[in-house]
Amino acid sequence: MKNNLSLNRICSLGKSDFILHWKELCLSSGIVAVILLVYTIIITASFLDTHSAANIYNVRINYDDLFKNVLFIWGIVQASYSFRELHDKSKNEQYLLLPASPLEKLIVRFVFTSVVLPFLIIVLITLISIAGEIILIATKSVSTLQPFNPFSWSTLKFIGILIIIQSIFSYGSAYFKKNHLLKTIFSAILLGVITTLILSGIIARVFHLNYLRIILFSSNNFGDLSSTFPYSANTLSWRRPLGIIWTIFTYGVILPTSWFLTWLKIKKTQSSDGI
Amino acid sequence: MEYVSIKNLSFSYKTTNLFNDLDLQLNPGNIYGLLGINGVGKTTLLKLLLGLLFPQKGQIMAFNYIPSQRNPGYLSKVFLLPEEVSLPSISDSEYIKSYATFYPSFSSTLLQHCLSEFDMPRKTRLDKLSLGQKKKFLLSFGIACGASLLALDEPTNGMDIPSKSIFRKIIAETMHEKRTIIISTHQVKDMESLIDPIIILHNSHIIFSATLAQVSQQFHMRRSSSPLKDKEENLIHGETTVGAYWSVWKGGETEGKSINLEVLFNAIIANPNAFKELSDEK
Repeated sequence: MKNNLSLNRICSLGKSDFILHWKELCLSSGIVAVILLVYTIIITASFLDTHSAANIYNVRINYDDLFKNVLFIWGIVQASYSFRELHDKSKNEQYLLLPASPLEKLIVRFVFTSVVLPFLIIVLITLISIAGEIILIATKSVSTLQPFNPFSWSTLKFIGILIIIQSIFSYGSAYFKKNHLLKTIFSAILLGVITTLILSGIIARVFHLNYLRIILFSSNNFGDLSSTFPYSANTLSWRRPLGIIWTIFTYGVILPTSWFLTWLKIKKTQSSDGI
Repeated sequence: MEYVSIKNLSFSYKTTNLFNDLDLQLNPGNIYGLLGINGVGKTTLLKLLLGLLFPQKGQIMAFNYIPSQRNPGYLSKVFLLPEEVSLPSISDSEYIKSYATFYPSFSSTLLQHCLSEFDMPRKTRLDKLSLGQKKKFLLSFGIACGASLLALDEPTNGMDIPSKSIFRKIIAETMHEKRTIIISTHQVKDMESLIDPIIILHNSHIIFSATLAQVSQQFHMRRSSSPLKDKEENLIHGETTVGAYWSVWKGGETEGKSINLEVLFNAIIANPNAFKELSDEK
């Protein structure tokens, strides 16, 4: 038997997860679909009550934003419960004794939260946008001609960003025993504040002491920064390399570190109940 | 030969020290009875054997694997029937579809045989079953997995009277020379014809580990209607049970009398030194 990675076992894990959770998934998808469909119809219908059908193109149900909001909320909630068995006394023994390696268990949950779920939401939003159009045509004889485009760059880019955020929440689900979502949010904020303060301190120390004072105490109108911050003229030219560094940092450090720590947690988790 | 061995195992919880330098070897082809008073660490020992808990000191080896590494190859050779069974809200066939594929030696025929022996209801949601039915289902599944090490924690708790004898029958029927079964129990009466050898955990150590044949060679039991009046030389232990007085004596008897496990257990707990020699022989 292959020690840590077998496609057969990964498929079996996926299959068993599906059998165990397909009802919950269908129920959540149904609830979200109904809410979004009703929302779409109400927005469009209320516009038509006060405007003529000729202005229907002004209806702005931005399916891109709708998709991002749904994916963000559902994505992090799902990720923060992805390893809930580890801390559930009634389930953790069976989960830990399931003949598959921690890596395989990690891959299956990763694929579900970061690939299957976005795909499911894309399908859901596409169907809702089409259904919304059909209902409008059937009831009001108009069409906004604004169905959701799942292949737009902003959609794909957002999925990429969400994968990083989800990796942090997945670690939170493996690390925290209870209230995974809230504790992960709180920890991420705390970590963000501490990191910002440290980085600001370093920047202030390296470049100019007044820079920190500006960040902390001044309003948005900084005026002419060149007198207090001699490097400000170059700020715009730094944005692109900083963006690249940030992307490399998130995909190259945060993502693998989060998944590595999650893997380690699955590997090292022991059965919690006792004598 | 593949076997399970524990060497110098130490393990403690935050406030409770459970094992100190514990040694044990489990050989295939045996149904071990793991006995001990409440809180002595029977369940913990089973969990350590299966890799659910990690030793703090010492080493456990089973079938050339280290259980705490939870290698898939090892996990497919072991099965735990826990004392408290929790099953998901799915049907029996969905459960089998979900988990059978993880066990290369899984036998559907054997599963069907065990389930029909237990007269289990089919196509029912598993979480709706009673505790005894859940145990019967999971035990049948564990046997069908073809596990080389089957750890059963209080398996007969919650089972009705007919099921207990079916349990014994199934375990005996499906036992083979490559399988090791370890049963942790307080219900020794349910297991009397089944478990052999006996392992007794007490005060962080294994104070007794021997077969019933070895016990019969060196000790014997007598049942009388009233307690003995005088202390006799070879008497190790005596106790009054409902309607009878039991005594345990040094020296084997040639007559093949059966051993009362409850009395034997009490005798060993009360006077471990008298049985030390027998355990050391092993």
